[in-house]
Amino acid sequence: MPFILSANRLRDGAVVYFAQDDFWSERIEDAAAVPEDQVLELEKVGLDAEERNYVVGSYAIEVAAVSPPYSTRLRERIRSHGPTVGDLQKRAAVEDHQSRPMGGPEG
Amino acid sequence: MYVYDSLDKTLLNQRVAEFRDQVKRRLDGDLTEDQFKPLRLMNGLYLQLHAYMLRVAIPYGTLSSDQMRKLAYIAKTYDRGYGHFTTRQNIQFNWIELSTAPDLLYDLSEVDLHAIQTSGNCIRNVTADPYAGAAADELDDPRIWSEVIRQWSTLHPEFSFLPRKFKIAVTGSKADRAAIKFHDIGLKIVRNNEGVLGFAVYVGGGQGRTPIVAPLIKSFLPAQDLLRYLDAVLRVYNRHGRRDNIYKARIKILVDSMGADSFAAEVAAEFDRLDPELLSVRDEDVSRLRDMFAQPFLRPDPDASSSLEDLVKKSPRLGLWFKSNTHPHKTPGYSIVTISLKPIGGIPGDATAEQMFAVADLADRFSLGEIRVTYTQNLILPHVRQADLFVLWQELERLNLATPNVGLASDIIACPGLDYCSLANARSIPISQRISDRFADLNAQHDVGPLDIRISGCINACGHHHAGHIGILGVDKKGEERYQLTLGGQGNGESEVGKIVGPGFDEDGIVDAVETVVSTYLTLRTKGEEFSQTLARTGQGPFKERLYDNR
Amino acid sequence: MTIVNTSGDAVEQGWRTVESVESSGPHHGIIVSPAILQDSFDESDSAALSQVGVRLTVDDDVSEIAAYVPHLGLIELVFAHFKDGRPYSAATTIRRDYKFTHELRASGDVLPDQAIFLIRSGFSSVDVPDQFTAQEFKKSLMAYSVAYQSAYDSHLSLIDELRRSTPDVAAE
Ligand code: HEM
Ligand code: SF4
Repeated sequence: MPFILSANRLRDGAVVYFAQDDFWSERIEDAAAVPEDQVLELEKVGLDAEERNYVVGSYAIEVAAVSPPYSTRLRERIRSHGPTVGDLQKRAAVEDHQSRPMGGPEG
Repeated sequence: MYVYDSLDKTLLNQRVAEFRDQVKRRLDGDLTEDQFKPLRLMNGLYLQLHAYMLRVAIPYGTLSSDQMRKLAYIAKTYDRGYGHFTTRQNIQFNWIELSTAPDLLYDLSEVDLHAIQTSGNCIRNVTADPYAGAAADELDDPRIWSEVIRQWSTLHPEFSFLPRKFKIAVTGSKADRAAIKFHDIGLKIVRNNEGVLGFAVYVGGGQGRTPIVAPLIKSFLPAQDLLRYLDAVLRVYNRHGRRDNIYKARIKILVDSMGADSFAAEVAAEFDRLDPELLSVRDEDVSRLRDMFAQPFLRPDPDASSSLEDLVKKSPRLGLWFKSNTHPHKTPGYSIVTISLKPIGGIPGDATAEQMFAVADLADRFSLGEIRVTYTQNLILPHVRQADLFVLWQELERLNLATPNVGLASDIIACPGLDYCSLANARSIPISQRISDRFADLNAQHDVGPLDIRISGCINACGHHHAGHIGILGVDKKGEERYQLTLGGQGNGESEVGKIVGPGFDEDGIVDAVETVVSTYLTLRTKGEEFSQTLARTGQGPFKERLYDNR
Repeated sequence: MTIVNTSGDAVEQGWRTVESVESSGPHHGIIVSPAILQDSFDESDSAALSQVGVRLTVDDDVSEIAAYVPHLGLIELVFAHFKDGRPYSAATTIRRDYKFTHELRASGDVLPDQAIFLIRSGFSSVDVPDQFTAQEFKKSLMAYSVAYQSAYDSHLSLIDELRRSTPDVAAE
């Protein structure tokens, strides 16, 4: 299965995905996917970016689909799509307990 | 309340300046992540799933209205408009940037707040009974002694690199509202037969992977010897605590493996070697603190309760609220009011900036500007005139902060879980939301009575699940979220570790299982019997049957 | 290698670490392991011992060389990892229980940001790790002018002392 590369940006901690060249995107849709036999090179890109103090904690993520990238791990879907707890502000105002967005395509 | 003097302020300012420099060195590449991480952790800054997370200490759970306003301002300015009150009398902000964290800490320091030692292997924020100074059953105000400990432990040169984190809790009342026996050190204020003030000292409690109720190490420690004794305990721990295995590094493991008696003996020997002069808590310091924490005079109002009864008759919802969300104050005619941060279906412990601003204003109007934070993730207005209760209740209703559920099924403790926490195995908040929805009927909750449901997203047990009547632990089973159910824990008053009932459940199953447990209790209970009493009487047997029989 | 003192200033090294000791002296400014200390020196020979230092790892127990301690010219405590804080307690014990007044040196894995903790626990010098500079240690020592606890280095102004001696200039 293909892999993408993710990390947190040093400056603000944001979840970012390696897209191309020097570009890391906040959108998982922009992530570059590589076949399994290129994972080592992909990880090297991450280590280089850590070395340059641009990101921290980079790692490769196995994805089941590539456009858009989809991980079978809930943790990764929450990282890319945000918490699954509903919008607090809205909840406080409206007593709507029905809709609860889930992380990732089928939560 | 404690008022920072120029020396406290100097130290805090220097701390902020030091951290600003450390952040700059990291961003400039002069510090590696490995070198920087322990430094940022000692300033409460974690890197979590989505961003940096900042944990701000609320020393012994006491906040002034100005401090609450500042927290609201932080939530609005540096975060996404909300904060999460935790079981450790801290508040966590989930969406913090490293580059502006020093500015945030500077803003906090303007109201004497900070994130010092809210993480790392050091002595953490001291926690205390949230009813301090207001409870009728109080021997002495635990905040006085917590403040003594705060000063002693802040940037302690010898005890900042311990084998593991170290948590101290203090209570001054007979009823333990601070879960002291689940702490590394639990201090209970007592008087000996001669009437001398002191502490019963419990050492080596904790939750996590190995939940242990702390044994009594010293039944009476004269108050003036407090720091000398703590110093001795910490030195024995620093010397002998395990450093080879992070899961065996807490003091509970040391006490357990040495045996409480030999541990106590070793501490006593170290205590005797220490210079009593150097560490003695002086009377003049204590009376200075006592004055600071002394309440302005509250005029007793013994007639207040009767007019209150009339009001309660008029509004059943107010009646429910009065029953579950207020507690008698030591002064007649006053109440301790709990502000529920557990709206039905809401996120336990979360408060929006608007709610925090509003609570600060209500504290000014109704509670001498004082607010408390409980380890059950609610807020408290400690000194409210009963004559003001009706107006206060109306205001709280408007803010969605008056859910009459304190101590009941939907007053759930939940850790951030997989929605925020990078160590999590499973989500906690959505489970608590669904359970809360399931028990949405507040009359029914009142009928069920006291029920303590607690959820942790992994075995670190930040949600105190071991100590819940009903405890839920999220685990990861081959990439799927699973939930283990424990029954029989006790965190309020008594301390008891719950036992796992049987095989775990999936996300839907755990919500049903909790409902099954509650309905089983309803069929089993005798008149007036609370959930934990029924469970103690029947054991887990009948609950197990109902849970697993028709599977 | 650079040694800094309690003010963070680089000072003359003065001592050298040796792995063995010739039986014929004199021994000037050598640092040895506890085993060599016990093999080569008499615990009552205070004149000779004042020229000798001992180097203790985190696993060495100072009580095993207790009789030597008061006479030694230097004790070096080696940090195995900057997060392993055992030497802080060892330092406190050596100063307090053994009344050791000569040079107490920290070496091994220490960070500049820990300088103040080291000095306040009773260390009187630090062997600066290669990747850091004396200036970094000095800067870190200057970061604080106050502290809550009384500590070995009474030259620092202690909040405690100040509170007693100055009228409270409380928060305006
Ligand atoms: C989201 C970031 C958090 C992380 C990374 C984290 C990490 C941990 C870890 C590793 C432990 C186990 C310690 C041990 O057993 O040695 C622990 C325990 C604990 N944490 Fe957290 N925690 C987090 C959030 C919270 C929150 C939100 C609360 C309060 C609601 C909390 C309160 C506690 C408590 C009460 C314990 C167990 C008591 C004990 O044995 O110390 N933590 N935490
Ligand atoms: S219990 Fe686990 S999942 Fe929950 S906050 Fe603690 S570390 Fe995170």
